[in-house]
Amino acid sequence: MRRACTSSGFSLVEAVIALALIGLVVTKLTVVMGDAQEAHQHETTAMALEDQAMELIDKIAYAIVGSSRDSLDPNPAVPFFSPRMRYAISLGVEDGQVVWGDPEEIGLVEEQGELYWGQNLGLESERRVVWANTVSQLLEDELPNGEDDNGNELADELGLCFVLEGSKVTIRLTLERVDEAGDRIQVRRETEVTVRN
Amino acid sequence: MLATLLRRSRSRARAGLTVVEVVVALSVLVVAVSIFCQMLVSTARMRTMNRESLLAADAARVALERLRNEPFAQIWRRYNETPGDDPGGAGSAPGARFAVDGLESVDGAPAGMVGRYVFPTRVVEGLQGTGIGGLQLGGGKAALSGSSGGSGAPTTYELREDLVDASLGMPRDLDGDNVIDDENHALDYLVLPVRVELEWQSASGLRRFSVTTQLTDFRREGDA
Repeated sequence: MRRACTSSGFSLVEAVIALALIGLVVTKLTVVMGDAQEAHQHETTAMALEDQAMELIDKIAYAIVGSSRDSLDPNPAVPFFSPRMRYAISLGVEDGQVVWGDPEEIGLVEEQGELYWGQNLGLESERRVVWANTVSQLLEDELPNGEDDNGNELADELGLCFVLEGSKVTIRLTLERVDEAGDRIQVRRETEVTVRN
Repeated sequence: MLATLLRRSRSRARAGLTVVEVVVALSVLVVAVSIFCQMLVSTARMRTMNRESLLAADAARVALERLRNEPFAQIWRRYNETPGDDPGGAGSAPGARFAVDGLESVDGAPAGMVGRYVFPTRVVEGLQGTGIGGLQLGGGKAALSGSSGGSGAPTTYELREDLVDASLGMPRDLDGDNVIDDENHALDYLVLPVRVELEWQSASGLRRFSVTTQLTDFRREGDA
């Protein structure tokens, strides 16, 4: 009698309860896994954007650092800014005179969010390279309202902006991307560089 | 005989797991999950630390860029610890400490400041006759001393050649006269050693970063 009882298997109630519990666990697990995957994708996109922003801001800084203060154009000082900067870098000294390279420019095409580097722009020998096309319309936390929303003494500054103070150039950049879940991700980077020549 | 064997075999097939087996299996599972979780946490921490290191290195570079944009002769007075000798009037210069966006200051740091400039500065306490930002005559050479404190015995800050700080390359000749003396060279230095130090509170504890260099007046004559 006892042997028969131990080998009788599960009752219907036990099986239903077990199945219900398994179903609950699997559902919760699916939800958690989905959230984790979404968070992971969000973080991965943010990190990729941050890496790109760091790389770009370094690229801009190192491009400008070899120029001279006199070659920088325009000359926006706070509270003004410029979304593009023209400059010429020193190639060395010949016969006691500094030899300057061809005029270069780094700037933003606002409509496309395109960050470009160009040399001899407008001339036959023009060279133009797009460094990124993820630049935000406005700098992070800035609204198009004519006011300084993010506390940097600039109003309605664009996703790429240059400000001069003496020989020091402050470069601000905000990149923007929409991840797979449709969330907008913004990353802001800022640096300062003093031109050497 | 055959019936007995079959019964045993069926009974074994339906026997399930013993408590010991379940405990061992659960232990292995727990260990594996905990190792996996630790790996995730350490990866996230490593990522944060790498990001902080990048921010710190960039902040140090920017801090040095700021110095390069200053008139060379005023760098020490504008960026030393005392506001008393600021060229534009007391408290008008940026001073020795600065904040870094994205790095949390340690407890006790003034006003959330993470970074600071370190020069071969000697703090001389209890000197008589020095006013705030006043001129002090020493060794036949007019020298400016930064000072703080009230009347009586103010504390003065001097840029010294005889200060011992191996990481700054001190002692060394700062004014180019080939002599290491004990005078204040706040106004006549030609070389200025500087260390940018950053100290911040990270999730993994207190972290530090520093970079040392020497500034010289590289600008052409006539430049600002």
